[in-house]
Amino acid sequence: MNRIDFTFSDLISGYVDHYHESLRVLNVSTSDGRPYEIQLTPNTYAKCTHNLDEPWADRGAQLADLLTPGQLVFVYGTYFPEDEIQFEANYIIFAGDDVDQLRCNEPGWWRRQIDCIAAAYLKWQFNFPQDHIDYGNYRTLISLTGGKAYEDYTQETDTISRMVYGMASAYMLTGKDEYLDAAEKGTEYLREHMRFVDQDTGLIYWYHGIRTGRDGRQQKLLVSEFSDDYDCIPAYEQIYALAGPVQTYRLTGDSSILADVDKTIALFNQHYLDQDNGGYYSHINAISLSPHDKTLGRNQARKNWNSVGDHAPAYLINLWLATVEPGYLQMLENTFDWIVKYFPDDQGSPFVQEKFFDDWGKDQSWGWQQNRAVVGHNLKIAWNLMRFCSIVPKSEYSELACKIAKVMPSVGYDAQRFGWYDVVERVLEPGQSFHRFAWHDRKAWWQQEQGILAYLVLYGHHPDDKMFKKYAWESAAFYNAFFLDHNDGGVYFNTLANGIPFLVGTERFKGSHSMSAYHSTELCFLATVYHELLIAKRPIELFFKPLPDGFRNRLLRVSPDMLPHGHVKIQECTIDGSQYYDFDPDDLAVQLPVSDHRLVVRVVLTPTIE
Amino acid sequence: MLITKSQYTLWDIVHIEGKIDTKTSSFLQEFIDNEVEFSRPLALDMSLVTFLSSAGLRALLLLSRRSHSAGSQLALIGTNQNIVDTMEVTGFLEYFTLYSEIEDLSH
Repeated sequence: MNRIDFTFSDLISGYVDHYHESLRVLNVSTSDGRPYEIQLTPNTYAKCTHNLDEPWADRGAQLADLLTPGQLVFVYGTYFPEDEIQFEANYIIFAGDDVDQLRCNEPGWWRRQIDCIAAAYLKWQFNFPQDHIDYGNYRTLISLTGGKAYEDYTQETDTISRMVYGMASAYMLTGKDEYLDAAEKGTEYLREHMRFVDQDTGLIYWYHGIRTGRDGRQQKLLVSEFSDDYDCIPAYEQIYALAGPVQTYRLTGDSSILADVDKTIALFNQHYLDQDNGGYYSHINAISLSPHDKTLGRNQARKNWNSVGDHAPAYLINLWLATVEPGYLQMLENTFDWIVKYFPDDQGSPFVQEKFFDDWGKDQSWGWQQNRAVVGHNLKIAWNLMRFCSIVPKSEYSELACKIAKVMPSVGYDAQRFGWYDVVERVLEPGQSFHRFAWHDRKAWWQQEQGILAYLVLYGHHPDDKMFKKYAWESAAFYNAFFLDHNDGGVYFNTLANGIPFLVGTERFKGSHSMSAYHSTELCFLATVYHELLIAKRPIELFFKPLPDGFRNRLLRVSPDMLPHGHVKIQECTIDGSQYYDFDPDDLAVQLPVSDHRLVVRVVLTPTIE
Repeated sequence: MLITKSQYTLWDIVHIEGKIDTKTSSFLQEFIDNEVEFSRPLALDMSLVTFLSSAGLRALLLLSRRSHSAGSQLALIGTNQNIVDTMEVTGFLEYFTLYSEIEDLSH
């Protein structure tokens, strides 16, 4: 029907089969094994993937040495539809200097990346280190280069909480005090300005945010400002309000955080929980706090991935790691049981069903979602099931995680260029081979995070599975090649399918309703944990700074995630710089000494299984 | 709870009598939805309100948001000290303009 008889540029990602140096002809096979012949020109240039704290890594003079069979390359070039379609390379990005040695698998890669991202957000939000960290200066919207508005702005609870999560995670990996300072001040700011203590019930819920107008007048926003959730209190905002404080609690044991969290969980269980059919509703009315209120309109008595599944990754796993409380574990088990029971839709689609009516019937007509799949939600389910499976090893958890991971590459992955798509139709129409994109074929940073973590976590659990390894490496290589903003810091929101940053509209921003040093730092944190401890089998350092009256029984739990039992132990512990020996290496717990001041606790965790 | 509406100069006045709690907050909101257009400044006459629950506070916040979005003014009249104290403790007070008497409203 349509002829491709014009030139166009695109990306070919894959593995080198052969390089003919004198002819400058490169043969590459894509992720799914399709061969391409690529002509290098005298102007073809090359670099190696480099981290945020590294300069351009030119490789133009080393092409013959690097273009060896098996090398993972990204080749951007131009197609010429002539007698045979020619492809001429404009530039090449190497994922590493040696086959099977990706730069992003080097020791400390993700730790250095979280350090850079956290430092960038401190600079943008607070002009740190020149100025002190003051959340009064926090803005939800941050431009590509870190600029922000000084009047007529909004401070959203969730984005502050997400940034706090990033800061707390950065402290745990680096031990830099400024990140802990940012996490604690952000937590305090949320408590002071965004917390609603219900005087009638004692429950806590969190404002959507605060808006400050041009005249300087402030207005507290109780209900969501977004079209999906307008005039409601959506569950996901309450869920993400806890993300930062809980990650901070893991470091400090601040009991006031725990009190707030418990009263918010009580809100979930009293007002969002469906006592009859199970699951958490996605929205409640702001006055009646009922999910059944008719004023909720299209959000009346609905459940979705966020309201059911996001408790675990946002705060609940981290809360359990710090407390080992059975009640939190039970809540986690409930959410995962609902996921494995209701989300798979084998007869309907390769993707999970993620929106539901009251009785778990499929809601396939809601707003923008209709019968569409968010690719990253599928992947996120996979890696979170595997995390929880380490503690509650139900076969149905690992079976669903593996099933999702086995099917996603054929329906949500870009086999030509690597990377994960955004939102696609869940069902193929007659004659279609590819799931249609809801809006575009761009690739969002947070969806890449889900892909990387899904396959890293699965590979960590299944070290002999080559498929999990392949997609873990490809996904991480694509992200690190294209998403790092080496000019202005942080990571890009979106790229085109070919990896070029898409810098238009809100997708240009480094801070927005959906982006705030969360997914990028969560990726760095968990990639460090899984890659170093379970895959590369290398020790990692973690830092904590508990309050003197913090953790119950002065027991500091240092497990970085829900890891397979017995795979990791404490090798070494120092407190305030001195060796300390009162810890249980296998239980990953440190018995803190009595102290009248905050202790700096450093632990070295090491893999126990070769 | 009894709710009536009147006008004073440019202002719409909504007179509330009784408790604003979980049961009655929805009634208040429904009354305002049906009777108030936000094209004029709005004052709630709270002088006969005896109790304001958290649900009532939330209703006031939603009202404040609607008024703000419409570029209109919102004032509370004759709010009793117990309720003022509640609003202060919960951090609401700074977001509302309070007057003692209807006659204090600007012309």
